Amino acid sequence: MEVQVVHKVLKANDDLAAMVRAKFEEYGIVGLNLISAPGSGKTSLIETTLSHLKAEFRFGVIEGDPDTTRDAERVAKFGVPVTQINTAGGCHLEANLVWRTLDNFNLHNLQIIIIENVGNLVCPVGFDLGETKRIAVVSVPEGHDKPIKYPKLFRTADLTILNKIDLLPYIDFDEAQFTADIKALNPDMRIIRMSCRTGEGVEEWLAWIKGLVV
Amino acid sequence: MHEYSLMQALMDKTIEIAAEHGHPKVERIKLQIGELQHIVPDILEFAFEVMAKGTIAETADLVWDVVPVKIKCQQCHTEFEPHDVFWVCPQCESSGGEIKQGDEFILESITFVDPAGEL
Ligand SMILES: Nc1nc2c(ncn2[C@@H]2O[C@H](COP(=O)(O)OP(=O)(O)OP(=O)(O)O)[C@@H](O)[C@H]2O)c(=O)[nH]1
Ligand SMILES: [Mg+2]
Ligand SMILES: [Zn+2]
Repeated sequence: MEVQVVHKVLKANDDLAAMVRAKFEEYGIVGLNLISAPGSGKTSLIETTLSHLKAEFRFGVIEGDPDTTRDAERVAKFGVPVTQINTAGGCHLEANLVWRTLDNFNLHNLQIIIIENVGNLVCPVGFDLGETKRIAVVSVPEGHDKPIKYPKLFRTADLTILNKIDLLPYIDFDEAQFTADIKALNPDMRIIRMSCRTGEGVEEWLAWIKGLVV
Repeated sequence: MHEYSLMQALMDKTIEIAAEHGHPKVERIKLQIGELQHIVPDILEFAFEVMAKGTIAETADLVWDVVPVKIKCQQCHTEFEPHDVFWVCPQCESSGGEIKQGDEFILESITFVDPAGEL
């Protein structure tokens, strides 16, 4: 006996993402989902952001990490509420994990929640977390071919940060190709070049974030 | 590795539907998988093997149709099947566009083993 089902397998995730999104809207919170390969500088970007903006806006941070609490500890030094989601080896965050985590925050008190996804350019992309904006972070040492190798991330992201531009003189990173490939995948994509090390480009990033908060 | 999450969600749904039908044994699970899901067949099959073990789907076959990508051009609304990662419209040559199909991961049907005597 064959039973026709026609069920979107990730519907449960999509439903929970919609709940997270509605919650963010209810409290007027901007939710940012940072996606990158391991080591591109997601935690560094959060640290840079907090060091400049934590006096001006009220932040919360959700750290997805397969195993340790290191990133959460780095962020906690800034005195903002941070919750660690240990994915127990899992390669991405899912909306149910974020949904449960929201209980740990006093949402009335927050304006921006930054979610650091697990370092991975493939798996996190298929799972909507209910974020307001999705941000792809790529760093110069990874090479300029990341957009064409992982197109789905660049099709779905709202912003790309090209980090570690202080390393451009030492690496054969073809920035013109990188930019052209991203524009071909997603003509509307904004790219911010920056270095968490030297601070170059940081102002542009801070202005982008400020523009999201009503 | 997202194959494991998809498979977990698939097994949950399969067991839920089987329960609605009185827990019959599953003979076949049929999916529709869009090309954009970037599923590695071996990983999906292995995930199924691992997760179906000890369930009513342990001996079931997992089969699927691959759904090709179809894009609708943002500018001129032509629908086309792109031939590489850049979705360049064959009509007006603008890039990008809306996904009409090719991004799905759908449980299409479940075939249950007919209970003896009912044939
Ligand atoms: N040269 C240079 N190094 C950087 C820059 N930003 C971050 N780094 C270094 O890159 C390394 C990784 O940075 P993280 O911020 O931990 O990267 P991540 O993306 O959070 O890494 P995972 O959480 O492990 O995926 C650290 O040693 C940082 O100091 C930069 O702009 N320039
Ligand atoms: Mg990190
Ligand atoms: Zn067109």
